Amino acid sequence: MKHYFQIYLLLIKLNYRRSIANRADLFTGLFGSLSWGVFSIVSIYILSARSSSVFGWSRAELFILIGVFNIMVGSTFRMLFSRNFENFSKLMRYGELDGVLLKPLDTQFAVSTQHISLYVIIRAVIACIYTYIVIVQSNAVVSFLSFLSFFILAIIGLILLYACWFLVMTLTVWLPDIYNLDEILYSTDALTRYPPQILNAMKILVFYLFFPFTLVVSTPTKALLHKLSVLDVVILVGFACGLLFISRKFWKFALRYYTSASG
Amino acid sequence: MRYVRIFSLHFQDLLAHRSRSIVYVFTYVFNSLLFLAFIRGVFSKNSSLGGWTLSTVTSYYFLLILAPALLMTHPEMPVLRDDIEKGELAGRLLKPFSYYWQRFYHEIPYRIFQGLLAVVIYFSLSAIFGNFLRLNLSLMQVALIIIIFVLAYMISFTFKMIIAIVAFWTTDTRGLHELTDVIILIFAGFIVPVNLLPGILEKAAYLLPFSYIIYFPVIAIQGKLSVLSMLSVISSQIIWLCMLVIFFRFQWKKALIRFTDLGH
Repeated sequence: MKHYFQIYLLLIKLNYRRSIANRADLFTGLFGSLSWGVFSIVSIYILSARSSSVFGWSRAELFILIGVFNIMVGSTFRMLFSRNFENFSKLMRYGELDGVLLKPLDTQFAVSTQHISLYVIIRAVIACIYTYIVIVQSNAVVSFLSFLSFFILAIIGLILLYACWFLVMTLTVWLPDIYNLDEILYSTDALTRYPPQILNAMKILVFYLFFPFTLVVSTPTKALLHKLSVLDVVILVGFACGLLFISRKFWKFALRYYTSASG
Repeated sequence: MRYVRIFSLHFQDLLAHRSRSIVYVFTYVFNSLLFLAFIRGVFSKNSSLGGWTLSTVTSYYFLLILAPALLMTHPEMPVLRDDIEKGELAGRLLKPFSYYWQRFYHEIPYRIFQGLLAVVIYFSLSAIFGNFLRLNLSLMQVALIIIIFVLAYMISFTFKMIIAIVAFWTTDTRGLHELTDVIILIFAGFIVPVNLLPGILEKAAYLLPFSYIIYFPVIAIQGKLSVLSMLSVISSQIIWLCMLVIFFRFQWKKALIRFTDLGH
């Protein structure tokens, strides 16, 4: 474990140097990331403009939900994992996974942590300030206990989201040519910024497959708003542990079919 | 004949990688249904909003699967990735076709293929939800709708080409592309129909060209526009297209002077 921690610290340093070396990349990445952050807020502002509450969530609560989405998914997940998942099809298509398999490291760790988009920290800071402001404006009382439970559930939510992405992106072992498979996940990620009840309104059974996505942000937000039930926690923890286990098994299974670039 | 051959070559290329187009159409479906689901939540408390009922707004979001698949062009990524970063532009400039039309023919097969996929999905969704679209259009209206769609396509393509060739100056325009996508999503009517946008956003949407790419073509199919309104939309589209073409030509001349072939 200590060995992996040291490697991760080294990766942070390497990614920092890479960011400094490619400043244009850094600025366009930050610009794009902030654009989507603004979009998430504007879209909920537009959608809820003609109603004081939707799916049992008041307008103020929806704005807090968006703030939490920007901290968890828009910032933390994008910073730590998204770029690595985008890289999956390239790893398979050009046979670059060969090099990863030869390293004395766990392959799942190696393919999930190589890229860290450090510039997203700026979005994270802005998202935290935004969330603090909307919480104050909505007169919501955040106690130490609710903040602590929010923090723990946010980590579990991120594990759940990671497992969902990893499960889907593992398919690139068989489908290396679909380099835009991550686009599906960026779209489904949008589900995390809405209340889970939105799935009932979609009225198509197949969309219930995306149910785990709706738990990622809504459950920690409920903790902040003192709306959390034991069942919410059990469902989130259950899905996170279950899907993480399945994604790991699926990855190990998929590697048996990896045939490198010549396959 | 040579144009047909160029088109067919690009179409073959597209069919070789058809699964990528399927993924993009899936994203249109998912985003559209997501916004529809949220609006259904809003409509559960209101029977009508700004002249929209649950059934008309449902047909609007279904058509929002079809409209971007057909009309939302994306020449900006191939221009950046292939022509600027890989340096393929030098070869393209030697061909006896203008750069604009080369990119135009490259884009058309994608719109046709994704458009056809979207039509299939549209009818499948209509079978599940019920057909909310009541087509009661005169021959004149149909002709005008076709003109609105053609002009919408041309505006979309020319605007994206203008964004694409900004790469001649900056060499990396990904951030700009994302900003453009966000602006289009808000002002073209993807989130809600333009007349449901709050306050100043609605006024801005009517002033910008994006509503003429998606919103007006969609409500034209829905039969929400009279012949007179359609003619007014067409006039505005022509003005926008002329302005964009003039700007593109000016920008292209400046871009060629600046062009540095990075790949060679």
